[in-house]
Amino acid sequence: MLPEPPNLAPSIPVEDPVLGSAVSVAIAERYSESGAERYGITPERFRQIVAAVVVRYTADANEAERLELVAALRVGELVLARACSAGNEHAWDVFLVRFRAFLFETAYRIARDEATGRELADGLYAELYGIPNREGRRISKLDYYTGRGSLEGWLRTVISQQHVNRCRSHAKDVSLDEQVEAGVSFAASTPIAAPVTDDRVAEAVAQTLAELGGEERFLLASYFLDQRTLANIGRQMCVHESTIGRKLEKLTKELRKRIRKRLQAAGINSRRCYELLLEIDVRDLNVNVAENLRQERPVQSF
Amino acid sequence: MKQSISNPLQQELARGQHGGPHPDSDLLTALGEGALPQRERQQLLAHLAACADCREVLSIAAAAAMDPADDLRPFVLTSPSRLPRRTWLPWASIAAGLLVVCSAVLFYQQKLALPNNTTVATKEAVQSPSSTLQQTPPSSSLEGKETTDKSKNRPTSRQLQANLRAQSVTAANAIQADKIESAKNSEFSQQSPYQSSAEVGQLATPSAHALKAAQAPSVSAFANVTTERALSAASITASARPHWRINATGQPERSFGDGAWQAVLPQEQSKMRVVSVFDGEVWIGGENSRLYRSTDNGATWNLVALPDKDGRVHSIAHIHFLTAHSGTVESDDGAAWTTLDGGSTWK
Repeated sequence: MLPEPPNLAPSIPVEDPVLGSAVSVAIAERYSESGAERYGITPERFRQIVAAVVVRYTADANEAERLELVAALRVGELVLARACSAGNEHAWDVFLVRFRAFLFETAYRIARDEATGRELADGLYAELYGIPNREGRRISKLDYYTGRGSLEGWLRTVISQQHVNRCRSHAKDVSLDEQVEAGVSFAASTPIAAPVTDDRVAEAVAQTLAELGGEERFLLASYFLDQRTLANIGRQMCVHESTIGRKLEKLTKELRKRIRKRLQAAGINSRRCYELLLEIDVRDLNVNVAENLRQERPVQSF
Repeated sequence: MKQSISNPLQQELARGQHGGPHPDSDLLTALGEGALPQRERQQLLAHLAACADCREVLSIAAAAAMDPADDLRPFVLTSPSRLPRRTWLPWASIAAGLLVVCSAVLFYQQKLALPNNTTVATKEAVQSPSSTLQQTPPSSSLEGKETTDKSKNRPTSRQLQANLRAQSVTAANAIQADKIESAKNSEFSQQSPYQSSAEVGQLATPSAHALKAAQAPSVSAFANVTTERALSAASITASARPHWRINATGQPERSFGDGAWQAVLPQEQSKMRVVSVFDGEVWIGGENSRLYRSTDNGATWNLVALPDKDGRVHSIAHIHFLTAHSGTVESDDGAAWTTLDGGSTWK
């Protein structure tokens, strides 16, 4: 199970954040635009909601970045989520009209199975409505929505997350009888041939990959390790697939160049370099790239 | 995931232990929607590069994102369980096939039953001055007349068969006449090579008449009317909607379906590379970071200023809008600008 983000429930008293006057004005200006009054949210409550989000994401940022964040927040959907979480009936009516059909459709698209999709959607729907905690207080999953992206996209991501969790938890439940019936237990395990590569090449590849930035490593991992399509990666990064294709082509060329440079620096002559790189054509580098990308590094929290 | 590793579950669990805190769903969503500032985007991508869990979630969510065309498809909320099965699809296709076949049969029958064309065909065949056509058995013309008279009422299948037979006889005679005439022509040409072409033309004329007569019944009045209506409808549609293209010299051009293309930005020296039409707005992008926008089908244009990126001049290669408000412009060197307000501001 993926760990859940910290709770941002509006019922928890939000400490008055030290916001600049410009940020406070910017927040106040977005009140009318958000339609918060339709759900009975006062300007002060709205300020608290938005301020909590601003403080959460821009704790170390300057005022310009905070203003940018306030301007980019989807306040209309944020107040809708908070109002639903608070049990506002009108808000729930609006939410159901806008998102109920979408919820079922998306769950089906993700699960590719009617029953599983229905189960996913129903499960999420219950969590959105709120599940009582130990103290008997109802906690809605909508409290976790912070308005950075669209509410529709957030719901889609949450369903995806739940689907992944569900698959993993179900993958542990293996019926031995079914396996015996399917003849799985009699199947010989296929040994995975470890790629035989020159140590110097492996080192050069590892060093070169370590130099890459986050976006470049993400592209390589998605394409070579996860074997995602260009279109899928493009959708993840909100760019066209041909842009991803160009970036990957440029990146693999650059990788090749750097690896050759390192090999030459290690005392390998040009001809041997050429031969080694032919053996490990960068499009076939997935084995080596995959090995290096799998080496987990501690990730800084943010 | 399509990883070729022995035990994906163990690998995933091992990653989870070292992956660090995961970003919340909202940030993943914002990344996919291009709504993250550069600093946060880089941090998130650095995490994603090392975290297969988040990559998988993001990938599934991206794959499940609806296409804009799908958004137009109505979703029946009352019976969501019936949507995915689509058991009606094979039956619908069979029904559609039957409908097409029935329509074709009816149309063919209607075509055969048309009285005027048949009469014209047989009359022409009878009145043609060619000697070969005079050999046409009178029965065929009589049959044709009979058909004409009877076809005023609803024709029976026997009448239709007779009609068909008459046409086939006419056509056969016409072809036979052609053969004889061509033989005669060759005889003429052999006998007198200096024979004028006018004479040959006179000889050739009846055969053309005969062919016309044979072909005449195949063109129905209904088809003509339909064609005229279709053409007029097409011309109306074509005149209402402009077509766009970038010509070989990089100039954007517009046409209203009449085959004439006119340059819409004749003063622009930079080569344009892409034209995109979305929701009634036309966008044109090209070299030197040029981005033009028109809201009136190209009558007037506004040059849109894109914010500077890397201090370089870019060549715009893609313009795409997901919604009327949210769109992205990309250059061929990977620079991208997004708008969330329908193109008023870009960042």
